[in-house]
Amino acid sequence: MACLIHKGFARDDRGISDILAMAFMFLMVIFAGVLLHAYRSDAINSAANRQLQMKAEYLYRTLELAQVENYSLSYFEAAAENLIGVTEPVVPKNYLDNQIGDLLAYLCPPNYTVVVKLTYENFSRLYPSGISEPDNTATQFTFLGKVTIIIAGAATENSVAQVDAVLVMFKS
Amino acid sequence: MRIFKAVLAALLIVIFIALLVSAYNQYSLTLSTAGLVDATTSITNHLVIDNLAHKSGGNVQEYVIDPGKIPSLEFRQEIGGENFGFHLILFYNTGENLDCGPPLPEGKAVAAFLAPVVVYENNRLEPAKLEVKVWRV
Repeated sequence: MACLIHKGFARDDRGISDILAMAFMFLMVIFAGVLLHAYRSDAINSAANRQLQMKAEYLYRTLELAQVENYSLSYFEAAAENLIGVTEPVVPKNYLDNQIGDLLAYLCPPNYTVVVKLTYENFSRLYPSGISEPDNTATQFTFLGKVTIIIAGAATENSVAQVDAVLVMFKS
Repeated sequence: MRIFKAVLAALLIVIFIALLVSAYNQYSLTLSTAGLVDATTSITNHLVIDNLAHKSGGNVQEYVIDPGKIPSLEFRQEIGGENFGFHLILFYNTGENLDCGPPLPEGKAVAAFLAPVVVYENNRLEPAKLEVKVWRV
């Protein structure tokens, strides 16, 4: 009798352990399913980020090449002139601020903010006016370069000035 | 009890196979979409710095688009052994649009990219936006 009871308990124990093993395998299958579906799902995000980086470069080139309305200077050239402080800048400061603000609002992708920083020696200027520098916690797409302008001297001598330009695009 | 265990084991195998098939389909779709997005980037870049670039005195002005070149474009490009068709719209700063290319296909995945560009118009360099929509042919 005792032997039979013992055998019966052993069979029950084995049945429970089998079910536990299967339950564990179910959990493993669910976990594997999540992993399999999560794998490589960032490929589209990476491709989209490459597009945003290219967009930052195109924005920089547009500011570098496009001419300010009613003037023959490019946006960057006009901003560099204002920053360096030439005696009579071709484009008035307030007009230029408005024009760059309008242009960035027109070209900036939705849900993103674009900040342009020009630096010459110890002076720097941010566009659009009134904006502060982005903090480094947000994902940023940056493109930088230099703006070269020739300043006509009073006599025959002309001088060359180089301004550092950085364009930062980040999610707002 | 044995039948219950056999059914559970069979169910486990079926679920695992279904998961594998579903994950493979998702993987293929993800790679295909990422490839289409990259193709859109590549075609736009090619248009802006080469095909549509304005020529001035024998020099190619990269990033400056000559709208006069758009009608003569072949709206199809091969990238990595795959053929892509595209449609483009040039949005002028003034609010006018220039819409060119074949109509968008129905039932196919289409990727779009809107890039800031410079347009050479009336002897001036004006800011504009170029939208390129790309699909697999």
